[in-house]
Amino acid sequence: MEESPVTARSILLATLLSLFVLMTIHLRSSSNINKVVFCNVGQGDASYVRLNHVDILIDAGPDSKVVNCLGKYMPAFDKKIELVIISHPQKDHYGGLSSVVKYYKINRIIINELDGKKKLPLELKNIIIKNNIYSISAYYKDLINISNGRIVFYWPVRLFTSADPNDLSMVFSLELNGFRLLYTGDITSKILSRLSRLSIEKFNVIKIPHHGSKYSLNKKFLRLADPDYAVISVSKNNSYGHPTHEVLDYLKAQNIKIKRTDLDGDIVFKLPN
Amino acid sequence: MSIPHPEIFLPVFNAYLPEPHSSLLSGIIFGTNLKTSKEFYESLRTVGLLHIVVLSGINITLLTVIISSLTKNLGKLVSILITILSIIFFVIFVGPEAPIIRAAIMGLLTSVAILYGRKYFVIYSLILSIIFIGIFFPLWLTTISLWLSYGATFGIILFGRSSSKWSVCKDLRVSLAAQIFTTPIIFIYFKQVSIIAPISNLFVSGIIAPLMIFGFLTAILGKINYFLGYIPSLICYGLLSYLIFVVETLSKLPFIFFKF
Repeated sequence: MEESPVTARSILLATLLSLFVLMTIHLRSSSNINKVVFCNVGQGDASYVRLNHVDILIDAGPDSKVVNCLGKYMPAFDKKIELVIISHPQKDHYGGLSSVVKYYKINRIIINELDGKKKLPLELKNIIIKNNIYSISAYYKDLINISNGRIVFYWPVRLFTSADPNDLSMVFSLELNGFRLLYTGDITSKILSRLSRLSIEKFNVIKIPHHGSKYSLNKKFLRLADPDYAVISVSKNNSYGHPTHEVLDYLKAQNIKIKRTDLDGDIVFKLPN
Repeated sequence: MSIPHPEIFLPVFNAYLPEPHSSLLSGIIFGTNLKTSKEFYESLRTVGLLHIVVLSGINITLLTVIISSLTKNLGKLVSILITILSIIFFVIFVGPEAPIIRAAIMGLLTSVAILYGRKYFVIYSLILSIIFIGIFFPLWLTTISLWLSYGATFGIILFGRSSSKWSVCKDLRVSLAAQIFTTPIIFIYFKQVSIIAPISNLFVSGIIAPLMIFGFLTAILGKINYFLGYIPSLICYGLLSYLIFVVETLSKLPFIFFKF
């Protein structure tokens, strides 16, 4: 109490240390590297994509955990997310968005209303309005070009209706210089059967739909997609029994490498530049 | 009139810093809880650094130092009165809890002691503060945070004085002195012990006070205008990144934390 805990010297030393750390971070900065991160957000989905200086968030997980993932993989002082895609408006896919807007400015959001009846959850609608986020929908055959990469939408088709919100989950691919990744949200096996009729080409990585639920396992579709890696976004000891042994056994039998957020933490794929 | 709450500064930190940096800075300065990062909270516990996000003596001491240096031209009496008022305001602002009340009473008594020309008053103020808490907040006598706060302060008073010229030696001595009583309290209460605690404290103890200063600057300047707070927030970011690096690296080492 009698001695000041802070002196001009200690402030100067701390400033020098800080500058050293900032330099190190800057030199080691991987802001030029394209990457996909599947965030360990517990029982839910969230994925961060950095594509030629464009930041994309695909689903936001159930709660604020997603901001720790963004803090870790987004460049420091980059406070703008150019694009958010919410595969379908269920809490384990958009719950973290209310935390994300506290830290980051979101330019656009792609989200489909269920059944076209403007049935977005009120919480989600308020976030979009209050933060002036430009909101658009996306359907089969829609395409977004991001410099030399692109996002291609396979599902849903326009005017499709279903009682099960998972049936309306967006299915879309991220493609860059020959690397292909498929996001599947919580899509069901029934819809995957329909998609199998399209000309599905090989994917390097597939995000296994619905945290590895057996109702989303479609063997024909997986054979067509022929992925090298399967990512399962799931929490430890969840009450749903995800991922199910049906899904795990099939992936193992097909020699597909399995990456799980509950076991591996954040899963990072570096993309070709 | 409603009393302002530290959460009014959260959007300021969030505008500059990512997570867990933002929550950590807010915890260090205002004692707000680390709700956004439970994992990081557990890492802090593992390396024995949880006390940096608890409001305590250092917050009050720093406030006293800043205010008295800002007001030193106004004369001793005015300067000390302003210091006393700011301590009271700070406690109301962050919300009264055992460790901060303990520190505030000691800070207030020390200010009064300086006013009356007394020099060595620490041990008396420690005793007076526990008598005060015993009379006005008797329920706090059963809380763990109160005993940790007293344990650390008592340890520093008894064993923390060092005549060494090297600030590293001084820091290490203060850090070890604080843990002489807190380690057994933590062991008895939580049935856990962090072997790495002295080392992790040594790594970070020097940057906490400067971090508080730059954090204060970020909060206040950033509240006025985004660009004013930018430079201090950059320095905070560097220091916080270092702190997080130390915590995460040390918490991954094997055999450093035992729970019984």
